[in-house]
Amino acid sequence: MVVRSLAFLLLLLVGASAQEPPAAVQESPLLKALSAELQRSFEKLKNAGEHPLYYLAYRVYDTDDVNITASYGAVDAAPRGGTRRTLQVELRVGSHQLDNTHKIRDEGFSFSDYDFSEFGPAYIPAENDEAAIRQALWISTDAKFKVAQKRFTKVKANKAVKVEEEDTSDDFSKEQPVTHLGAPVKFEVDRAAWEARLRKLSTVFKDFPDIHESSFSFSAVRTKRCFVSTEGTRIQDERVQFRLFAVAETTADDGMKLSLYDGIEAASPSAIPDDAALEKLARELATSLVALRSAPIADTYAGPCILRSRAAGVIFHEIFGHRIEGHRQKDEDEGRTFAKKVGQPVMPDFITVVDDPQRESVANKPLNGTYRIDDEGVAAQKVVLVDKGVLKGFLMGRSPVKNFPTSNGHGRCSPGRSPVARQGNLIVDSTKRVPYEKLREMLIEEIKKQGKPYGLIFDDIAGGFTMTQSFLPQSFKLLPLRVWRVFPDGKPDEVLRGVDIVGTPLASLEKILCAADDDDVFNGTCGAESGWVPVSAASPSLLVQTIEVERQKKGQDRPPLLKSPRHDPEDPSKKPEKKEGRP
Amino acid sequence: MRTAAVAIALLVLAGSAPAQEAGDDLIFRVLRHEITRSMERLKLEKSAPPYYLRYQVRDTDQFQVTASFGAVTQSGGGRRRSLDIDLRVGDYALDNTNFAEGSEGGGAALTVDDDYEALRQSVWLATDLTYKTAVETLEQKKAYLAQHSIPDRPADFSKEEAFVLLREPVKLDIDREKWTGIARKASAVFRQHPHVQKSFVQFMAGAENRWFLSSEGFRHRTGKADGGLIILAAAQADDGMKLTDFEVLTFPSLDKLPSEETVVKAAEAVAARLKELVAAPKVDEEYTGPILFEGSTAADFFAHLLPGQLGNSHEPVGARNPNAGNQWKDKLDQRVLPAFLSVISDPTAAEFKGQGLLGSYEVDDDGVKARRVALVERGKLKTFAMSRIPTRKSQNSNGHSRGGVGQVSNLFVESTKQMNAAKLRERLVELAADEDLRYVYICRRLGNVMMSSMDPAGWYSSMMGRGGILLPPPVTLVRYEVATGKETLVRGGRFKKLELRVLRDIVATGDDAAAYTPVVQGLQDVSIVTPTVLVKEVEIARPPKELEKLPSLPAPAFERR
Repeated sequence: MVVRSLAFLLLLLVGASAQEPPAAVQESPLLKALSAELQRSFEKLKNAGEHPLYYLAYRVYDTDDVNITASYGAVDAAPRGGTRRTLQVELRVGSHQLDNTHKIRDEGFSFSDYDFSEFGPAYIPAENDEAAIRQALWISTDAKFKVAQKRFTKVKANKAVKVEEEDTSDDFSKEQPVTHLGAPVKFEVDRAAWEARLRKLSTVFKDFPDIHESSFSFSAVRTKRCFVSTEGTRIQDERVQFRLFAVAETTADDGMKLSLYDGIEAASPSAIPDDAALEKLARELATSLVALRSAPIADTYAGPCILRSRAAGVIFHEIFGHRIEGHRQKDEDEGRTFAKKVGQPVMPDFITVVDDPQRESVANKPLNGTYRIDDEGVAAQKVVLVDKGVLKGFLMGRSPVKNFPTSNGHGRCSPGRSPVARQGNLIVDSTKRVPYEKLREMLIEEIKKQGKPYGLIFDDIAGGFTMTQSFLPQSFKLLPLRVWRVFPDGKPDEVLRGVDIVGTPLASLEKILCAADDDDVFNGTCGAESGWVPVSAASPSLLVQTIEVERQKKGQDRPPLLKSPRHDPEDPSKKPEKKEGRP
Repeated sequence: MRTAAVAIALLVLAGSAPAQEAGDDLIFRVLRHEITRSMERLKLEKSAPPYYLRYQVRDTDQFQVTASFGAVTQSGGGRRRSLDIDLRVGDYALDNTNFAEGSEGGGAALTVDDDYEALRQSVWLATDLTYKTAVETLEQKKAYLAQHSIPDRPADFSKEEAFVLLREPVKLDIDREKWTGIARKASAVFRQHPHVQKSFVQFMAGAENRWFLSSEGFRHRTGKADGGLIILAAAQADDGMKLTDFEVLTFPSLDKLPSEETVVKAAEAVAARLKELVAAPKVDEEYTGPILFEGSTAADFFAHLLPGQLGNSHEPVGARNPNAGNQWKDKLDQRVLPAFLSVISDPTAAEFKGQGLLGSYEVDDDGVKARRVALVERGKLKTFAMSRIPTRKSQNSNGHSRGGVGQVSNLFVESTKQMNAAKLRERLVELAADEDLRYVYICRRLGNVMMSSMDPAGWYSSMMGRGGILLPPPVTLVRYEVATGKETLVRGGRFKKLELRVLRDIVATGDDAAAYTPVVQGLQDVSIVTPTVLVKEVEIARPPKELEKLPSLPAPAFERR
C-alpha cells in the first residue's frame, strides 16, 4: 500500500512522458524562421565571397531545467530560470575536400581572426518572434561568413607550405538529408515537491558525525532541438533527462580527502526510484564512506583484479571509447593509438565491443546514451568497433578519416558547441563467460599463480579522465570509489582507500582473461571538446591479468578541529544563553 | 520600506562576547553560536584560537530580463546566500592578513532555507578551513618578516568603536511581467531602424540583505534594493566603422522606477543618436588641445582617474611591486588637483538635487559606521578612504571599507572656479587661440565596458596597451569651429593614454554640478557629483584604418524596401 501510494506520488511529481501520440507534428515557428533565413543567406552568400559557401546549418537548442541541491535538510538556492536558447551556426566555405574547418598546423592565436561571434550574451531571442530571430541569425551568419573566408585563405596557404598530412581524407562527409519532426515531450516538474523530497533525503547524512560535506541533488532537463541545413536536413525533436545524485565527503585522520557518490540517470521519470530506495542509496553511501575513512591505505601494486561490471564499463569508456573517436585518428596533435590498427587484434578474441545509440536497454537496464539522430543530422547507427578482438571501425561524425569516408551518426555536442564524434551506448560483450562466483575463484587462482599477496576488486568508479593528446602521456587515470583487497588464503576482503589506477590503455585491454554473466550499465554524462552528452557504458564483470595502481595523492589538512555542531555536546546552542543585561 | 524600518543604533563595548540581544534572528543565532565556540575552542595544539572572528552573510535575490528586437533573449535570477569570513590569529599588531603571499578570509555558499542545523554545518566547515589557513599564513608571514626589515611597519588591524545597526530585511518587490513587457517594448524600438544591427535592453533589479556579526560585538543587519536598465545598440557606418551607443538608467531604490514611456523614449534617443553618428564625418587628424568634458563625461573622467588614488593606500607585506596600485600613496598634504577643486567621499549622502545616489550605505564592510570624509581640500590630498587596515599615516578607519579595503564611496567634486556655460565656452576658445587651433573638442558621452558586448574585437583593440590611464573611446564627440562657433558631431576618435598629471590641467569647471553613475571596471557602484570640466590638454587619435566590411546581406526585416 505504501509502495503504491509512493509510486503514485512519483507520477504526480514528474509528469513528463515520451509516449505522446505521433499525430501530425507541426513545424515550429522557430524551424520556419531558421529555414527562411537559411535559404536567404545561402542563396545570396553562396558566391558573395572569394571562396564559395557550400554548407550552412543552424543548430538551435532550447533548454529548460530544474536543478535542486539539498544539504543537511536545506536547499542551496532558489533560482528563477527561463528557457535558455543557444544558437550555433555551422558555415563552410571551400569544398567537401578542403574547407575552412581544416586544421591549420602550428596555428597561433590571432586577435583579428578570433571568432567573436561566440562571445557575449545570448543574442538569439528565446521567444519565437520571427523578425527578432532572423535579425540575430543574419548578424551571426555574417560574422561567421567573414571569419570563414579569412580562415580558408589561411588553410590554403598552410597547406601549401607544410608537408602533406598523413591522412588526406576530406574535411566533410557527404550524407543523405534527414527530415524528422519528433513529438513534443511533456515536461512538468513540481519544483516545490522535489525540494521537499530532497530536503528529507539529505537529512540522512545528519546521522553520520564524520561526514562533513554532503548533498542530494536532482536535475531535470528538457532539450528541444531545431536543426536546418542547406543539404535539406530539417530536424525538430525533444528529449528529457533526469538525474539524482548523492555526494558525501570526509577527511581521514591522516588528511586524505575521501568522497563517494552514487546516483541515477534516467531518460524518463518512471525510471526514478521511490523515496525508500533513494534513502537507502544515501544511507549505503554514508555507511561505505565511514568504513572507507578507517580503511587501510593503498600501496603501489601490479597484479590481477576483477573490474565489476559498471567499473569495467567506465574503464572501457575512458581508455577505449575516447580513443576510438574518428576525428582523433587524423589529428596529428593526437596520440592516434588506434589509427593504424584496423584489422588487427587489439584485445582477446572473446571480446566484442559495439556502440549502439539505437539500443534502449541492456540486461533490462535503461540506457542513457540513446538517440535517433545525431547533432549533425545523421541517423544514429550501431557500430561494431571490435569484433572478436579485432579492431573494425571508429565512432564517426562527419569528419572522414582514411578508409572511413562517412558518418555513422556519432557527431554529438551539447548546446552551443560544434559536434565531434562521441560515444553513445558503448557495449562490451564476451563469448567467454562464467558465473560471477566462478570469476572470483579464478581471481584467487590467478593471485596464487602470480605469487601476489592479494588481488583487487573494483566495485565502482567515479569516472575519470583520459589524456588523448600526444603531448601528454598516453595513459589514463581513474578514480575508483570502492576497491577491495582479496586474499588468496580466505581472509575476509578488505576495503582500501586512496587507489588510483595508472597505466597505458592498450596494455590493460590485452590482459582480459574472462568475463562474468552479470552485465550492468553505467549511465552518465561525458565531457569532451564538444561539451557534455549523455552516455552509457555496459559490460559484464571482467577478470584482468594485470592492472597497475598507485596511492592517491593525499591532502594535508586535518579533519575539522571541532565536532559538527549537531554532534558537539558542548555547543552553545545546547546551553541556556545569558540574556543581555541592558534594558 | 525604509520608513517602516526600525533603527536601533547603540554602542557596545568592544571585546565583549556577543550575547542574545534585541533584534536577534535565526541568522544572528547561527553566527553567534559558531563565534562563541570558535573563540574558545577552535585551536591547533601549537597555536592560539582566533583573536577576531567576523561573519557576514549576504542574501541576494535578483531578477533580470534581456530583450532584443522585440523578443526576450534571456531572463532569470534567483535567490542565494553566501557567507564571508574574516578570521584573524595573532593580534592587532601582527596577524595573518596584509600578506601578499598568503591567502585571506574564507567563505561558503549557504542554504536559502532558514534551517539552523544546515546553516551551522556550513558555517562550521568554512570556519575550520579558514582557521587552518590563517594559522599557516601567519607562520609564513612571520618567516617572511624574519628575513626582511620593514621600518615602522603599521599594525594589521585598527581598533574601532563597535557599531550596532538593525534594519528590517528588504524584499525584491518587482513586477516581473511588467518589466519583461517593458524590455520587450523598448527593444522593439530598434525594429524601426535599419541602421541598427545589434541591440538589447536589459533590466535588472536586486534585493540584498546582510547580516554582520563579529567577536568584537559589531553587529548589523542592513537591506538594500536597487536596480538598473541598460540599452545598447550597434550600427556600422558606410565605411565599415562599428559604432555603439547606449543609455544606462540606475535606480538607487525600487520605489521610484521609470515609466514604460521613459524607457521607450530612452531607446528612441539611442537609436536617433546612432543614426546621426553613422552619418557623421570621422576624426581625420590627430589632435592635441583643450577638451570640454560636459555633464556625465566629467564624471567618467574622474571615475577613471580618482578612485584608484583615493583608496587602497596600504602596502601589504611582501607586495612585489609596492609602486603598483595607488599612485598617490606618498603624496599626503601635497597638491594633486588645482587649488579650486576639493573632493569629498560621502557614503551617508543619499541624494543630490533630488537624484538618488548609488554608493550610499550606513555601515561599511568592516561594520564601521559610514562617514563623510574630505579627501582633497583646495587641491591638496588630505587623507584616503580608509578601512580597518592602518597605514603609517592613518591608524584608523573612516568608514570606507569595501571588502575590507578602503575605497571611495559617492564622490563630490567641488569647485570654487565655476563658470556658466557661455563663460566656459569663451575660456575654451581662448585656450584654442593660445594653441593656434582651428577647432576644439567637446565630449558629451563617453563609452564604457558594456560596449564590448556589441563589438568585442573593437573594444578590446581600443583598450589594449600598458601603462598610463586610458579613457574609453568617446561616443558623442563634437568638433567646435573656433571661427564660426559651428558644432559638428564626429565619429571614431579615441583618447590617447593619460597620466594623472592631467588632473592639474583642469582649467575651470561649469556651474552645473549633477550626480552621475559611471560604469567603470573595478569600481563598485558609486555616484559621482561633478560639474562640467575644462581640461587644457588632451590628445585624441584617429580611428584604426582597417575596418570590417558591411554585412553581405541587408537586414532580413528591411530587405524588401
